[in-house]
Amino acid sequence: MLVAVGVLGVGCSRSTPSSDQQGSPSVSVDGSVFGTRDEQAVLHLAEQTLIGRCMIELGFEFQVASLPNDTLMAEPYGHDDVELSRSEGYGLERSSATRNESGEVPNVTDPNAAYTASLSPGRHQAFTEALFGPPTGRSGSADLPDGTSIGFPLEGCLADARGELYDDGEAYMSAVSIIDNLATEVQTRVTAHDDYIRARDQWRRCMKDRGYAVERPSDAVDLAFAEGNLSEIEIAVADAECSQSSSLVTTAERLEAQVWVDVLDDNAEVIAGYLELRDDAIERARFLLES
Amino acid sequence: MKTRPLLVIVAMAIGLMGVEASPAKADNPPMTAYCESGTLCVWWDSHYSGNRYPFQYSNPQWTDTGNAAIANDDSSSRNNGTSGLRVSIYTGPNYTDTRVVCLAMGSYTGHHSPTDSGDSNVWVSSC
Repeated sequence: MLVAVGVLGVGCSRSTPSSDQQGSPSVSVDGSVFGTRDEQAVLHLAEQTLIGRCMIELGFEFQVASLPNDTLMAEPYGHDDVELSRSEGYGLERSSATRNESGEVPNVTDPNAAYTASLSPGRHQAFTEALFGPPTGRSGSADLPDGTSIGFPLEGCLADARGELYDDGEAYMSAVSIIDNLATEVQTRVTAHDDYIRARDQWRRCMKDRGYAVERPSDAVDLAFAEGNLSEIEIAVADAECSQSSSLVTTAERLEAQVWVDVLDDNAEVIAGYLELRDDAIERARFLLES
Repeated sequence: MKTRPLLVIVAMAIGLMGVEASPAKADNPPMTAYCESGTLCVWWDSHYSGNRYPFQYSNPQWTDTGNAAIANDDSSSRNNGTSGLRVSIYTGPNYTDTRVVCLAMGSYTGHHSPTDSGDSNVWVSSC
């Protein structure tokens, strides 16, 4: 069974060929496993609202968070934008400039951080257990293709909210744990492909000719971190130019489109079950937020 | 190569003395593996054991944080953020290279694949 799904929300938008096979789950190419941005925001806010009600009933405060407009564009296969590299390098300077004293980037503030910081250690632990369930509470799990197992609580306000929103919270989490990690499976298959390995070897030789002894694109970013801001531009530009001459990124993108079809097909049943739960949940979420 | 802290070596030795080891299953974290709300917790060893390193924010390179010791020595993790965001761990700096795992709020994994390779983490609205 083949599922044709446009995958949004996995770092960048992709589209995959459609299928006319009968019996396929009806998911349009322009649709998305995760739904539109508006649908994601509605589900997110409804889940947070239900969690908040539960936590308040248990005697805690809870600050509901809306879905932020993050724009992370993960580059698992490197980058080939020479002009951007010339002006911004890898963007590392920006990250460094916003770090706090502990060396972390405070770009996503936990909405309940101020409240929980005001609690005694014992009360904070009670807050945590009310939200995520007790340490000995019931839990569910889902197995990923590589054997990794993702666990999730089935008790606590978070689990109760998902149960109310998705009707079957365990089924929802079992499916979404797998779907959330499909991109990793795609990346694993792409980087193991002969075409990708050939392109990466060309990129490596090109970088060596430019004076950088690196094995893979992330090594170049590592080197830029170590060398400092002045070298970052030079390394990033060399990286992008070598990516272009070796067709590293374009090869990866071509393979990725092919591999997504296979990965979605392999997980068609999980995706179909998830979409059914999600579609019903969107109706509940809208009703909840309008009432 | 990093040198493991003595405490962790002791903990690992105790772990060899009859404590169960099921490498793939995301068992419920033990009571000792408390992860404070608002953080991504990353443990040195599998199944939420060994030293625990909490991350509150996105970090483009773990070696540049107060939790530098966990870089390339991570084995298990849990997303106990309260914002509903997911969190991804990458083997490369600045969220590059292999994505180790993407965890929804409240989710956890007792065994990273690949293990001992984490270098950055980022909170995202979707994986």
